[in-house]
This record gives sequence, structure tokens and C-alpha cells, in this order.
Amino acid sequence: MHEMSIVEHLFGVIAEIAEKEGLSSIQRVEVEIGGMRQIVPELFQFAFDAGKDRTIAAGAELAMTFVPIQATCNVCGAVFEVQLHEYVCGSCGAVDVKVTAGKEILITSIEGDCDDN
Amino acid sequence: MIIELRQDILVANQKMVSVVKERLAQEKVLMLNIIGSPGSGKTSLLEATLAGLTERFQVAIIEADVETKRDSERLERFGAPLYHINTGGMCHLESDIILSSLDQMDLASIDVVIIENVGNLICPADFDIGEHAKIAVSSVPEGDDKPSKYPVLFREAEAVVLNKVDLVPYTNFNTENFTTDLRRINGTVPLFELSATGGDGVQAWLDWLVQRIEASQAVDVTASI
Ligand SMILES: Nc1nc2c(ncn2[C@@H]2O[C@H](COP(=O)(O)OP(=O)(O)OP(=O)(O)O)[C@@H](O)[C@H]2O)c(=O)[nH]1
Ligand SMILES: [Mg+2]
Ligand SMILES: [Zn+2]
Repeated sequence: MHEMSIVEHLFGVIAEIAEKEGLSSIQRVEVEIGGMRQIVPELFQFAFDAGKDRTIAAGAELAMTFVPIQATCNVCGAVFEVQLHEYVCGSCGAVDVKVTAGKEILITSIEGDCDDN
Repeated sequence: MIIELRQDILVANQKMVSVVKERLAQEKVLMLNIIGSPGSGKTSLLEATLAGLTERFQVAIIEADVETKRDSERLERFGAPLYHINTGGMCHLESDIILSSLDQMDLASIDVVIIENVGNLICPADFDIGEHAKIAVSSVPEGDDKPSKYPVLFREAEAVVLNKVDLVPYTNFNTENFTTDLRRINGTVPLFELSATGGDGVQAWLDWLVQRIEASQAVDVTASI
């Protein structure tokens, strides 16, 4: 259930950005999550909806984008997408591979209204 | 108004991670994060490790427990500095709590800090706490399918301990299945098959650990020259 903790961190980040940008309400939040984050979308959504009403994001909609895991082979240099957590190079069979994407846990967009309108 | 950005959601945790890493680097301290299921033998591995290391190195332990202090009590007899964290229901540790444990330590006198994370295969793998290496602990009675079911921990680990190998004859655990799955997820990770309570295989783990401690001290020394 680390979705709960991560969503708590998300509310913290939203509050900080809202304050910096002078937002008084928020309608929509977009996040980007890598495949190595083991986030269950339903749990993340649930944690967001269950917690948002006591934050500035009350009533906000959440949109999630999931980023596939990508790796580069340290032996032949091939770049490939990791399927089903099989960290093996599809071109040469090497297991010495470096993950280059899939650990993202980002907020990418906030839509809201300013104090003065 | 739409604000586009790319901001790490865990920025607060990552900030403290930087402080933890800096603190450890200053005093040339290695920090290991032991992660495994409830009952896999994390505390037993610590007992075997303390018994084998304390003559050569100053080891400090951070024990995370959801509720009790039992694990800390088991480790007291080794006389190593011991810091207990009661997570009060939290399924993982975060870096701020590690920093407050480090604040209480005399880091200058310590070579290695070993953390027993909360018994859980998923959540602790997702939170960086400033450690140099995650160690995954799995055990025979849990079944040979743990790497394939919890791949991220096994991918992120710098060493994997397969504990309770003394129980292999009494279970349907297939060591080859375990190893084959592990190799698909992490083809280069060292695997230590051992019995923390029986002692079999513990020496290889200790040898690796000693090398790891010495390597980190050597790297730090050159870096500071
Ligand atoms: N047969 C056998 N039993 C073991 C071994 N290692 C640990 N055990 C037993 O397994 C049980 C759990 O071990 P612990 O070391 O408490 O496990 P843990 O991972 O620290 O458990 P939590 O902190 O509760 O998550 C204890 O009864 C140990 O004695 C082993 O190598 N062989
Ligand atoms: Mg324990
Ligand atoms: Zn390759």
C-alpha cells in the first residue's frame, strides 16, 4: 500500500506548487509513473480520491500515464523495452543491461484557477 | 490556467536522501537496507552477521518494526549500537526517519549501518532511504516464485540472500526455478544460499560483506585525497 504514501507526497507537492503559482482551486492533475514503481492504478486513484477533499485538490480529477521500462544492453548496445520484468537483451541474450526508463514518479501538469479570477 | 512541469513527486524524500548520503560519505560509512517478507529471516541474518562482523568492524543497526521492539531485543546481546524505529503501521521506511536515527549516532566511529526494513517485498523497494545497497532476503518456505512475483526488489538488490536452505528437503522448493527466474530479472546479482540459524553458507555472505565494506572505504579514501 505504498500508493497511499506516494499520494500523500503528491498532495504535498500540489500544495507547494499551488502556493507558488497563486492557485486557489485545482481541477486536474496529471502524473507520470514508471513501470518499476509497482503502482496499482486503482489503488493510486482510490488513495487520491479518498484524500483529496482535505487538500487544495478537492474535487480535482487525476490522470495517470504509465511509462514502460526501457533498457540498454551493456554488451551489444541494443535499446529495448523490458516486458514482464525480463531484463535480458533481446538481441544478444546478455543479462548485463542498464535500465534507462521506468522509475519515473512525476507530476507533469496541474490545471487550476488563480486567486483573482 | 494549466501549469506544465516535470517534478518528482517524492522530492521531499529525495532531499533527505541527499542529506543522508552526504552525512554517510563524510564519515565513510556504508549503509545497507535489508528488505524481505515478514519471517524471511532478516533479524536472524542480522544475528549471524553481527556475530561474524563485530570483531573487525563497528556495526550499527537500525531496526524498523511496525509494532513491537522484539527484534531489537534479540539483537541487544551483540552490544552494537541499536536504533529502533516503530513505524506505527507504515509499510516502509522513508529517508527523514533514517536521518533522525543517523543524528543520534556517533558516525565517526561506525563502519557500516545495517537497516532491517519493514517486512514487505513491495513498498520498501520503492523508497530510497539513502542506502548504498539494498539486500533482498527471501526464504525457502515462501516458495521459489518470489523473484518472479516481486521482480522490482530483486532487480534493485545488490545482493540476494536465499535463507532457510536447511528446509529445502521438507518443501517443494525448487532451487533451479528460483535461480532461473532471478537470473532473468537480475543476471549479475550475487546470490547467497544460506541458513541464518544453522550457519551453512553464512561465511560466503560475510566474505562478500567484508569486501563491500572495504571497497566502500577504499573508494571514499581516494575520493577525499
Ligand atoms: N529453519 C530455519 N529457520 C530460520 C532460519 N532463519 C530464520 N529462521 C526462523 O524463521 C523465523 C523468522 O525469523 P526472523 O529472523 O524473525 O524473520 P524476520 O524476517 O526478521 O521477521 P519480521 O521481522 O517479523 O519480518 C524464526 O523463527 C527464525 O528462527 C533458517 O535459516 N532456517
Ligand atoms: Mg525481524
Ligand atoms: Zn545485447
